[in-house]
Amino acid sequence: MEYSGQLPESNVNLSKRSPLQEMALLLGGLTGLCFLFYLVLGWAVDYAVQYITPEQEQALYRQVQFSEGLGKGAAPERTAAVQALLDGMNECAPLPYRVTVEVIENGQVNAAAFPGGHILIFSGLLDEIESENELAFVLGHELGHFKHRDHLRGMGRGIVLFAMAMFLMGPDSDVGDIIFNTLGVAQQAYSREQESAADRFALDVVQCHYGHVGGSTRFFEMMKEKSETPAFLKYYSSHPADQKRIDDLKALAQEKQYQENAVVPWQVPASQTETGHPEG
Amino acid sequence: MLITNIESVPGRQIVKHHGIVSGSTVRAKHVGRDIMAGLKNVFGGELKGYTELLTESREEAIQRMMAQAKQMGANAILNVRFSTSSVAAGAAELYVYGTAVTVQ
Amino acid sequence: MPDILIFLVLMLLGYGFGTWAESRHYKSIHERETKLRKLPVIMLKHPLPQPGRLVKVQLAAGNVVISVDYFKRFLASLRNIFGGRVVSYESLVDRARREATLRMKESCPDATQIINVRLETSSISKSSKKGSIGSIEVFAYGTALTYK
Repeated sequence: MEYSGQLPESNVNLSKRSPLQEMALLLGGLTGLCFLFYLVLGWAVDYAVQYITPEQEQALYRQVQFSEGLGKGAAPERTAAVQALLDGMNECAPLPYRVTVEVIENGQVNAAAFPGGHILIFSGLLDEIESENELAFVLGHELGHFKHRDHLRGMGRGIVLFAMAMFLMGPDSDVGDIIFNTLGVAQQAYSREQESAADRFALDVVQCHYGHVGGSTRFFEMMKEKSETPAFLKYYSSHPADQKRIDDLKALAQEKQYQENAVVPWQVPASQTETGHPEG
Repeated sequence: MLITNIESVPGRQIVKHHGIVSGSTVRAKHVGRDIMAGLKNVFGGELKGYTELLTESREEAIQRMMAQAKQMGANAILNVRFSTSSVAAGAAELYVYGTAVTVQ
Repeated sequence: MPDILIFLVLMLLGYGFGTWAESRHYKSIHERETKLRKLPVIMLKHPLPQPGRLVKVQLAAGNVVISVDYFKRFLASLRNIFGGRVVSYESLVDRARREATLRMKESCPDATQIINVRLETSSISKSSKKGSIGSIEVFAYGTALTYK
């Protein structure tokens, strides 16, 4: 029997589509899908937040213990002074619950708002400010986060993001991680919006409390001088750049015709030494 | 020892039939091969370490089968089939089986 | 941020080296297929009629383990979402099959024909990620008959 050892001309087992084409197609489809999901579920979270009462919110946060008192420990005298200022601002920034503040002897220049109505001020910040108005602005900013329920929104979006990545790809997957990281950038953009909104709220509170907005931008001016973040990191930053915050605040003040008058100097009870006697 | 995977030996007569014979080995890869495999999983291409591992394992399994057939007094193994299964993480069992016969 | 960078680097490496290795392999396969095409390899259980006397009966075997590159695996996991033909793995199985068959032919260079050829494929997956195929092994075996 004759055997013809002829090889086939073309390879029928391979598709004509090149892998790069395939990649473009699939990635495009995936990004579109993710974008859609993120938008829709983001709106859903914002909508749902309206229906969670402050009591429910407090109960939720009690489930999740947030650690407080980071650093060497609280400073009772300074805490009392800042708390007094905060309580005085309550008229201008009414909240359904009492907000407490704690000063931590840490040296850092920072302030943070924790879910449940707790503000942490680091002693470095108190050392840097010159006027009571500046401190009031910082407190107002943190109050803004509570008023807008930013923690709840952030948490909701985080859960949605995580659930989406998990649902699509299953745990421990390359693609899931990539999606999570890329959408993390979108999260930062959302966070920056929240920060700007808190700034605007703070400006209104300061105007209400003092009758003018003098000293509000001084804090950012000081921060700007201290550090220069390179421009390309601005998309990864959870806060807007300092200069942008200053510009936005000044523009807003102009629009609302807020004045800048003389500021009230801040009487800082100096940090206590170990013997308990205040210095200076 | 004659080994084929067809049911008879062309040109020879089967005179005695000895039943099924088999040989198996369980082999595990070692860390070095694993690391190479990890690299190759990025770059693509043939995993020579694994190929060698599996070739040797099959050789050994065939040797064991032949030894068993010899013990039974056969001189050929027909209708040989192979089977692979993973028994533990990183270890695979290679199993060869066939019918041992005496041909002349 | 560093995760995305590492990912992109791996993808690039995978695509570059993978495509190069694949085209090189295909060239070698084509060359050897042309050289060895005179040796019939069939799946029938009965030999083709040949002139001459049967002198040797032997088991011919060839196997190969080939893995895909990172780029192709990522494509396959994207495909998992939408379904459809996984184009990136097609070349993998094709190469592996043809390579294994060639090695089987090369294991018995003086054979006249190889009959009752069977192909067995098994996946050798990376142990860390469940369900993702890292590489496959194809094993080809048959009976080599030599006529004189």
